[in-house]
Amino acid sequence: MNESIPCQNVSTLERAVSAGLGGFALARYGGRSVFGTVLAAGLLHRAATGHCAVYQALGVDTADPSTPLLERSSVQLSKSIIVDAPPEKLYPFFTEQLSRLASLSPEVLSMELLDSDRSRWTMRTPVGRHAFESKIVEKVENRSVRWESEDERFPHQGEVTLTPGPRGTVVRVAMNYHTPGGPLAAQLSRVTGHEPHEALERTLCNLRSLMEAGELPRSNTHPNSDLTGKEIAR
Amino acid sequence: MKALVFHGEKDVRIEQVSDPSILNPRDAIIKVTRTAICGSDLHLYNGVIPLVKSGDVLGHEFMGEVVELGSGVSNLKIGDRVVVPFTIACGSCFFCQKQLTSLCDNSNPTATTAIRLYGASGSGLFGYSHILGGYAGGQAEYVRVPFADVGPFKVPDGVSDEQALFLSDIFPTGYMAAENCSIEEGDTVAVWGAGPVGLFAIKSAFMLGAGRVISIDDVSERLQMARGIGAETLDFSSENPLVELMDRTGGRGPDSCIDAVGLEAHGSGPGAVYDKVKESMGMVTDRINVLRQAIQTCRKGGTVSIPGVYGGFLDKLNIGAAFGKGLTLKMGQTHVHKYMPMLMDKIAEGEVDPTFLITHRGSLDMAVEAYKTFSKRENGCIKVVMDPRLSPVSGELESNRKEPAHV
Repeated sequence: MNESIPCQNVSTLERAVSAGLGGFALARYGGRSVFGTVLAAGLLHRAATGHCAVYQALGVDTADPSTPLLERSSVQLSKSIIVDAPPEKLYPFFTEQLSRLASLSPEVLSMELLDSDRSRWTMRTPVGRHAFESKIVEKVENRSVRWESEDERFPHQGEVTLTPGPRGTVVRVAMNYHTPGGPLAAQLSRVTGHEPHEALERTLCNLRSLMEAGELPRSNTHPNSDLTGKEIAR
Repeated sequence: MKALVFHGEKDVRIEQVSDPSILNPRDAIIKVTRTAICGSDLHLYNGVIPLVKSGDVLGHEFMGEVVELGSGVSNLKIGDRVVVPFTIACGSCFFCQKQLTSLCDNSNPTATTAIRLYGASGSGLFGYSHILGGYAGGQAEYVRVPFADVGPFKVPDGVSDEQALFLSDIFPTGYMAAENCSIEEGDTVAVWGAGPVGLFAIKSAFMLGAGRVISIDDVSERLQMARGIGAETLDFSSENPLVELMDRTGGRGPDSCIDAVGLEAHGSGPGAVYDKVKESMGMVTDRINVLRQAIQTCRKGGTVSIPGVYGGFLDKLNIGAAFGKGLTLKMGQTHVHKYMPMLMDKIAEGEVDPTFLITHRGSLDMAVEAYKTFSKRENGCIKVVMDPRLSPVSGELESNRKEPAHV
């Protein structure tokens, strides 16, 4: 039964503070406000068990002083899209024509081929530019490509598989990356639209548009009102 | 160029903005000769559609003359007179090949936003929310039209600009609403909303074989126009649609019900008050009183067809009634490209003259005033058509002015 007991991830000092705040909230709001009662119950539970679900989602552990405050934890993501094109036309995007793939991703600022398997990418991230090296570690012609990056800030592995079917090729990208804050941080950055999941989705949508429509949809054409914003005199 | 620019809730202005230019090989630039204000523009004007940004040029019902073409467009030439679907479609994806062009996979550059909200993205739309691309719209002197080799439809000689204009949206929208009802000869169809889409739905229901159409609204000019095209009318300010519709159909209910109102239903009765209160507290996105009534009154095995726009989550919708009566629900943006050629033929042959619902005409400079008038349903306003080529004229937006000599 031990597995069902959540492990402690809150320090003794924090548990004492939680107990104090929980007791205060219970005395002040208990039974009078739903929110206050739930808050009090949550804090008292945190104090009594030493477990915090928010910390768990963030990969934070203050109970064990030997672990760093924000432990890197693994985030997995995968995304599939059907593209009306044969695998032979798509495979080069992930191998010898990486520059074409890079041009489909708004987050990629630049991409440089170092040799046939290694490439250097500069990406836009919520916290500024970030450059890393990526290496193709396995490829099966017109079927799959696996790559890895040993980058310090953004270590990740990924695989793209191309599966032909009656309605086009299913392009599936699966990635595994490590980030401070883990899955919750990934969810939060998703709100800003910069999270890798969103970037991957946009890139795959663009790949489909390029193959099926021959061009990428562009709408940055709202002709901004002139700076004066002056209304035309009647 | 001159354009109608959105600045916030109930704040639109006529301003000078930069001219559009060709960005993609399949683009065209259209010089607008007629543009209209749609009921769904009022949803933007009233601030109920998310992600409409200050500086956006509105308008998705327009037609005009081709003045510039991208290198990838070979089926049009400079000077062609065309009417443009409000839905932007690539013509080649899975959905376009099925003629479901309002669901095009490849025309929305902000698709990931729509995917987050709805699980998948519809096509890009002109002059609408940035969820659906944020494309600059047609209440302007010029518009950039993407995928111009697929969308713009040539207007034959003998069909005037005003006759062709409504093929951009409301005529196909009303037609698809009626077609979605799978009408059988002699059916009774109830249509909520006697605005432009409702009126075209009435007309289309008769074209498709309906025996009776009951039009529901509370604006007398609109009900009068509905009577003018053959509908019976029901004024919900004095009659309860739930009681009256059953009464008029022998207790069975209409064979199909069309909700041509959408998320800003005002209506009457406890349901309408409930929605209004919850909306004012920010607890509900859509006011759905019409949808409730349509589901409640539709006969067993019937169809509820929804051309009216909805945006988010519904509250107190009796899905049990829909299930219990085995109803079919059909909805969505219009696949305009699919209906344009057939409806253009009907106009050219004189079977339908869509201009019957135009109540106000003017220059683009009148747009700000026209939005106010249309929004308040004042001066019998049902449909406003503007010609951006006309010079600003002093005075009021003209009601029922004759079509200018040039077409």
